[in-house]
Amino acid sequence: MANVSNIGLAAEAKALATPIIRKLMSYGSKMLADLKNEFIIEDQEISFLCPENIQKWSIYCAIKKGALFAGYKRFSVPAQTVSIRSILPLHDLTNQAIERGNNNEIKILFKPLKEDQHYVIDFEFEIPEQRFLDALVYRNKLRETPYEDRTEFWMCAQLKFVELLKQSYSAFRLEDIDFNVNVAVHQEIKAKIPSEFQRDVELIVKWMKALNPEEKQRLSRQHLLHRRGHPSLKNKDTLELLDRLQDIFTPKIFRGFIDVKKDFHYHDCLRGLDFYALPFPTWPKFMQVVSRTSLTCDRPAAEGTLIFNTSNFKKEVEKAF
Amino acid sequence: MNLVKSSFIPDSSLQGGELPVYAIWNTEKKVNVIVYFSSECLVLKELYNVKKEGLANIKGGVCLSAFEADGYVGMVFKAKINKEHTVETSVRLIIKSSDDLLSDEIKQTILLFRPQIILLDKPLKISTALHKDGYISIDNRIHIRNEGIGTAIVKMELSPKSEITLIEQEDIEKFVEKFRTILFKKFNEIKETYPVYSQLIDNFIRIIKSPVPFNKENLILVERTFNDLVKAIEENEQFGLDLASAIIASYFSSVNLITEIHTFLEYLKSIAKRKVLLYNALSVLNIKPGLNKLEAKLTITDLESSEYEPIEISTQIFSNMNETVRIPTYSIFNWMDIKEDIIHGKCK
Repeated sequence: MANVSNIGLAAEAKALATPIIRKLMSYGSKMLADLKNEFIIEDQEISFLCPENIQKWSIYCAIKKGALFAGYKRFSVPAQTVSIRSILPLHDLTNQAIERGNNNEIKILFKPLKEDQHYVIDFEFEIPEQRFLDALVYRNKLRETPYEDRTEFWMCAQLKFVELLKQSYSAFRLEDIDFNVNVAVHQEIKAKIPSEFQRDVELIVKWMKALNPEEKQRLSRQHLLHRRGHPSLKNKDTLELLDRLQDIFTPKIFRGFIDVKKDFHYHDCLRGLDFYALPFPTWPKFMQVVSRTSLTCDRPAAEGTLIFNTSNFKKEVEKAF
Repeated sequence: MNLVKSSFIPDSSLQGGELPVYAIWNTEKKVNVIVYFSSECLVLKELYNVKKEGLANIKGGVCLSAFEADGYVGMVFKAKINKEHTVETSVRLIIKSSDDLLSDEIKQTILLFRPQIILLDKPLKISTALHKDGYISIDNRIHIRNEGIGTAIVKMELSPKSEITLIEQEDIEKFVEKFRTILFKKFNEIKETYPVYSQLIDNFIRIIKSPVPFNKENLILVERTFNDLVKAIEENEQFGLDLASAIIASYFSSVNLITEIHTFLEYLKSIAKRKVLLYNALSVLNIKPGLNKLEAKLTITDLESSEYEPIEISTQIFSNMNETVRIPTYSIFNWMDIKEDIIHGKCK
């Protein structure tokens, strides 16, 4: 029977995130209170830009009648960036309408604005804690696949708490939550590299390391005999073959073997840092595939599947030889 | 009307790993969520969006009846390391409206797997012999097999009682040394330009400065540092570019032809059969003429960083050569496939 007293209820995560959310809310409340004197606030949207660790507050507004006579609106909030654009026509007015001063001072100049126009003002606040996203979202993925006939990795993101976010923001969005899946390629590479090529490389390494002239001659003969005995190696340059093989690990080519489905989308791939061997990237045993998803108050959890097309990958390795 | 809008229960996981489960339902009705699972295989570790007073034990699981916000529950299970390397279990969710009029059931069978390294034989003596054509043969190798379906990362560590020593391949060692020296110099320059990432760079330097002891704590530190690096690079593109050029410049200042071909050979040799990665495949064993006592252990971890019982190896290596020879670590092992049998100390 499960012991309910041992089940966690995200208390630690809440303790870390609550003061940050309150702080970000206080910036937002101050900003809204300041703007309300001159602007009619029609709607607002809050998104957390996850890779950048930024909270973006977008305000949909119009200017109150007669407010333009004041010439500008000056207030202070610790926003990293502020931008303004008109809607219909969509026009970025940031350069003409926003001035930044000392001590987080923001000045919205009214000259480029019109009374009958609607605007979006975006404020971006840096989130003062790198672990904020981890406190908000539980992320996990399958580390390796157990099946021989398919290579599919599940990915799952779920909000650790919703109520606090709903209370603070009526609507919010956590955008581009990163997932790094290490896709193992070593067994496929190993299976498709011909044994005669492996022996060829072994002999070259031995020859290069040999210092004794007799040993060098013996290995030269052995290498020539090996090459003659294997017509598939005829006229093939070992380094050229290795280069061709390296190309498969470039994001442009490797991306072709990856498919990301359901609530996630593909973002990027890079050679996995192989910390099981040398402390620098050489020949990857894993490729790191970055997929992304977003969560909202209506979709507090998301699932995705990353599919590695091993048969096409193996064919590509075979083609290199 | 369907109560459940979406749900997720994974179909597989490494033993020792965590499994997320969630359900999102229509908020028009108040619901109870009943979760059934086998406590022999799984531990319910965390619940998200559940009120403390809404959590109760029932036979075979838990009943959740009060939620902080309506319409969602998230869960995290931890898979126990089982004595069987592959087991099946299941999680069943029943989402039932409080008025008992509507009910949805979601059930998923879950495959829990791990590696299982088995020592198939312990030869009393491994023989190495030099042949006329200069070829060094090795007879009576140690036969080992991964009987599980999870990847095993295996590292050989020698005991101080061993008469044999383990050393890195010289050219790789020289390359690594040169690579590190240049890289650390460049990293210190980067630290001055990006003081905000100096702790992260220090962690990275610590990892690559000396070999990391092969235990769960360090593997987690390594993984966390690499993940933080990826995050930092995404956050600050210029930092990423500077870091990449430091690594590339150090690599190309140190690499030579032999390293390039050699690292490829190391790559191939470090991949054994049936999802086994050898940590130090091309490190070499120093064998003196005659009998040499080999006392070693194979430490085993998996991709979830779970540690398994090490395998003790105690044998002797005989060399018929007149001088000390070096043989790569991988060459004293025969990594067997699941259907292979041993015949007279050799693979069929």
